[in-house]
Amino acid sequence: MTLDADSDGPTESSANADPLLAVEGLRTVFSTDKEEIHAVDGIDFDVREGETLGIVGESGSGKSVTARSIMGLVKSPGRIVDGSIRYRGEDLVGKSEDELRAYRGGDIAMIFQDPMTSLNPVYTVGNQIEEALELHQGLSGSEATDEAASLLESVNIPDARRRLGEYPHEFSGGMRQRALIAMALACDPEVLICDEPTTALDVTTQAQILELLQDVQRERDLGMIFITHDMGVIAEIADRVGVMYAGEIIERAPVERLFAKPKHPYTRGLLESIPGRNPEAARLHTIEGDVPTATEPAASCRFAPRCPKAIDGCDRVHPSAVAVDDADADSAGTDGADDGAIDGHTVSCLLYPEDRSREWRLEGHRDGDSIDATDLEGARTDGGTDETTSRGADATTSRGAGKATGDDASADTRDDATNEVIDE
Amino acid sequence: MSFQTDPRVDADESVATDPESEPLVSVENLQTYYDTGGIRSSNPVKAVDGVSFEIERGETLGLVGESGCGKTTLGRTLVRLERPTGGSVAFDGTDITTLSGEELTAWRKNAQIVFQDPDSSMNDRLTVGKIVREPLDSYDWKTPRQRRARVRELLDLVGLQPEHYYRYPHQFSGGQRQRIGIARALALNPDFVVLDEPTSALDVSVQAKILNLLEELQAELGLTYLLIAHDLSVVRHACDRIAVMYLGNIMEIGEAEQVFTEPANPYTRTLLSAIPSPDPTVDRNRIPLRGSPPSPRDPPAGCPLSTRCPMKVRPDKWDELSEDLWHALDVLQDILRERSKRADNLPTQIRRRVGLEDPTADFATIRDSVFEDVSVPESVATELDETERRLAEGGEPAALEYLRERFGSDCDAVFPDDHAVDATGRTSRCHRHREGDDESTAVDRGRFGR
Repeated sequence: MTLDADSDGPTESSANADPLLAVEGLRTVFSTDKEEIHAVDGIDFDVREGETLGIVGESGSGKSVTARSIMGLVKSPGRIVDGSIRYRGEDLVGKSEDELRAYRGGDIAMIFQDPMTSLNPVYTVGNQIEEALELHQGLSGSEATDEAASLLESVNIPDARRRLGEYPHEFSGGMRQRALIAMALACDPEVLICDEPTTALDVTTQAQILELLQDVQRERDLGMIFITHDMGVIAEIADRVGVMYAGEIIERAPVERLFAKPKHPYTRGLLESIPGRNPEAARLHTIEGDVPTATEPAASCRFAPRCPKAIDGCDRVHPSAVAVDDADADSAGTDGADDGAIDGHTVSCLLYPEDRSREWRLEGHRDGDSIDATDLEGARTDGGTDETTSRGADATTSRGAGKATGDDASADTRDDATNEVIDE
Repeated sequence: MSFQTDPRVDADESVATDPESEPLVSVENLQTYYDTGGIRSSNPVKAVDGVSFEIERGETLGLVGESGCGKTTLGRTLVRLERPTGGSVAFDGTDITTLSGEELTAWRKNAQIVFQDPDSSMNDRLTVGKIVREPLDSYDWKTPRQRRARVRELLDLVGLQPEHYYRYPHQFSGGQRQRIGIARALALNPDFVVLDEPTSALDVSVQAKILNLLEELQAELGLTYLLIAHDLSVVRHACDRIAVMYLGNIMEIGEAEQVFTEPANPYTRTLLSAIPSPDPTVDRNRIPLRGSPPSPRDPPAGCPLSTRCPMKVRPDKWDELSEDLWHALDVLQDILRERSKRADNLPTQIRRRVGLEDPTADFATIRDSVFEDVSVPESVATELDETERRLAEGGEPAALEYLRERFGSDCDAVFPDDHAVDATGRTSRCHRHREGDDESTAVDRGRFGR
């Protein structure tokens, strides 16, 4: 059980299957006169053939910017300032617009949330699919029309040939999303990025589209990145999940594992706030406050101000990813061991590893992400780094009890924690 | 921010409720049609097509359905933002469908609405205080000083700060804007509030806060809610009873838990089975619903769901047909229906009249592709030949009419009655509830497993 700074744990045991797409340390920053917004702040993940990586988060967590960064669609004032996006080993960051265009669509395709704005209203659906076919596969004329019709059929649009001649407004919402999927497939991509593809649709249509995407993926062995805010959709479609919060992936795990044993207080809060997950509860669980906008590089846990289980130190130390597969003994007997061997469960939270003292954890996390201890945000509340350290040591003893109970997410622990932080 | 459950409103603001009294809202055969009496076509959009239900005092009735099913129109009609074209809405005993002028203005204080989109439902140039005060101003409520005090009280009630009075809507997050919308709706102390998808534009953690707030307000102020939503888990959590709407009709209505645990209507079943469950280990037994809803201008002749129903009654004379063949026949009808919509315009009609367009031109291709993987018995093939002949003669409507005649059942011809389906007073519209029709046999035949 060690701290895993780069959180590349998930890939180590599956080195034989090279990821299709590997994102490492990606940072995308939007600079305005007023401030710098760190929309994506150092995230890592990879996608392999035939698997679906789910990225889940609330609005403003940076999930769409992540998708756009991969597609090279981040426009000024936004730019990728750090990190790499490797497609089959080739780094896409820093490539010219022309070079990117070869990948975009051809190798990596994307489906957007709103099918109406992604389709051009003055061209027929057929026109638009054929255009993609011409660009990426060099088909034209009746060849392109035939291929377009068979693509529409493959996404279960009946009467496809007739439909090619229709305009987007003549399609229903679900049909439009199907047409977009057909268009994305026209380029025969290896990676398909879906940015909230079903958010604008009804549940019945959503179910149809999710099923279609799963079929398409299976047939073509696509690597898929599925971005959504809907935990239900994630549970349905993803193999592995990354939970995003304020530009960072704060927890990642195979999907069953994430839902069965969420570790991060944010993930827990998010799951508990879904209505219907436990129908008996009279009130819904809520998370205090709102998702912050990251305007500075992370020097603390960004969730700490809202965290019910924040401990002394959360406001000073930026957590690094900790592997938690084998850490919790109670899961070892069930599904934990198996999943752990293939894909890791990591969490970026100062509460982990649970079996270590608080002091050890603070040190470990600090080293893990090589945070400069003199440049801490926490300094503003208590005035000095020296004091910070000594205070931290004091608190270790005083929080001993707090840690023990800290495991069950309960409101009183939260109150304790907040009070203590404020009192001190 | 956190909410206390203690009442923060004066006693005189809470509505006296009498459990033994009449339902607050009683809707009888309500119709709201749009676009009546056009020049070319006399087909109105039947957004709400004859619904009847009641809302008890202090209860929350959930209204669910796909987009375009008429749920928003129904909600707007209940607060008289739309004028119904038929039926009646008795509010506290008064029929509000005929109110006008001063009577209508006076009544409106009692019924308010919270809109779905907190961005577009408030004027960005007004301060929050002004927005919440507007209903008070337009009703000349007490003195300006008292109005301002009332607004502060309302802001506090919905969990906003007094200093928010002078801010503008764009300075707030989506959840806070929805709180402003709620404060505005409550300004005049209504009895009845229509909540039109109040949380569908919000993240789940924010949604949880708004739902909790609405629940607290209901308990404090004795409000009666109609909660319109397409998210069924929200409705299950928040509602006492649920009405499921499809194509302008209420297909099933009853106690929320009953509807969720033992849905009776095929439409409710498909709808529930489509909800993605936030549990990856759950075994999804999904009941697929083909295609998209028909146009409310031209609803099916029999059951509204007949064009998509996975449990449609099949006529006895075709008993030996396989499910795959039935599916293919359904798809063929879908295609013809879709084409008939497209062909319903003057240029196409003229081109057909003068022989420039042949509706059967690619019928053979369609037929081949639709029936590609199924074996078609001779008897069905004959019917398909005849269908083609009808198509050539009378276009798509004639062909559809023929297919309905040959392969249809009561589902295609007769509007289903409301059947009581349990002891709690739940009703469902479906021919399967008729005596002697055991719906479970349809399930066993594996139709749902497709």
